[in-house]
Amino acid sequence: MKLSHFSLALLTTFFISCGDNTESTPIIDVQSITINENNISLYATDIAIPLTAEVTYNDATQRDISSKVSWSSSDIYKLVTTLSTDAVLVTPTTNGGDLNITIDYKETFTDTKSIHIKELISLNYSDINISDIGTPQTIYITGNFENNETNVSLLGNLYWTVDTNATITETNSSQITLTIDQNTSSILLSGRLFPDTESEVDFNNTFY
Amino acid sequence: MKQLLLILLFIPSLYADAKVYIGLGGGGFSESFHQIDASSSSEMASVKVGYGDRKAYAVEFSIDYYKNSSKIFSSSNDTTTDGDKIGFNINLMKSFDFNIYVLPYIKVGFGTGYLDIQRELQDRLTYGSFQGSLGVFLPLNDHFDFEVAYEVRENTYEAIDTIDTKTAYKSTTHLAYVGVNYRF
Repeated sequence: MKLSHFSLALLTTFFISCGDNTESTPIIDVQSITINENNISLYATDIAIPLTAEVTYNDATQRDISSKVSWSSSDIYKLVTTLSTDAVLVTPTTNGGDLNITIDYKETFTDTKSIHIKELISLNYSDINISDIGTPQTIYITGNFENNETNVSLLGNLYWTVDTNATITETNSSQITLTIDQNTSSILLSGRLFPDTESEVDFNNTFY
Repeated sequence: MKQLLLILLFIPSLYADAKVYIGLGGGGFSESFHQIDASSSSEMASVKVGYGDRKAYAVEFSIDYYKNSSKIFSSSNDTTTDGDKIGFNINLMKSFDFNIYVLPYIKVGFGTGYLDIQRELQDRLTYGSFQGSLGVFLPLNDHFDFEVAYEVRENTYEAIDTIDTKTAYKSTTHLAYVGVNYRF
């Protein structure tokens, strides 16, 4: 090995170091994250509504990141968040109120939206014949909410009981099938919104 | 763990005419990425400490500095390049004495390092590498020798976080190295 060979090696290193250099990253970067829904409101009797989040990159493309950010409610006594496969489900746990919901990623990106829970004011009931003993009868129920929203379908969070003169055979939030068991002058139907919680509100109705 | 065991196994064979040596050198490198159309090339420098026989086996520790002239990871407009890379390597070497003027060798090892970047979610990337090289020692006397080598490195970088995906980019680096070693 002569000095000329060593010089050749030096020359080789020089040429290798003079190759191409990428001058602008081909890897997209995060620009912002947002909760997609605006003006979010839900009825106190809603079971859950889905919310989604999206990331916007510096090339203006967007992707869903609903399951990849952390979701938090400003008032855990008013709203529960549950992660589903492609969205976050928010469920009211109080009759009315305002709160914020926030998404966060590594404390670097956040977005906050306000949520309004519509208060259930009263209920509307279809009638029954309390002298009809032994025949299943169905009561249909709708809700009247704040801001004069009337006859709204009820989806959840209401649980029903009836006094000892009748038996409920089938129930959901907006429909009850009951049977009058004996002669009586009235039947007391009790609806409990968010039962056994600090937010419980009772709605009672007497049928004559 | 396997690498550590290999190092321990090699230690007895190093005693024959083993010496401690220190080396200083530099070179040029060209790096190309696998998943993306990106490349980087520039100069590098290396300082190393080794122990072994110039004509047999040696174990070598080195700290590398790679100048960065490319912008592959950084997205900020505040910088025109990613940060320079600093790496640490452990290599095992086997050299051969064919009674010619030079002593050819092969070297394999692994390393780790980092570089500073400017992204929204990350400001530093670590990487790991496996490397192999072919080279020659050019002995000047019992203490000094020149070294010329060609090295290939397979690098895996820490994953880049874009929230939706986390991608660990891989690259191959070709490196030409010249240096000088002092043995004592």
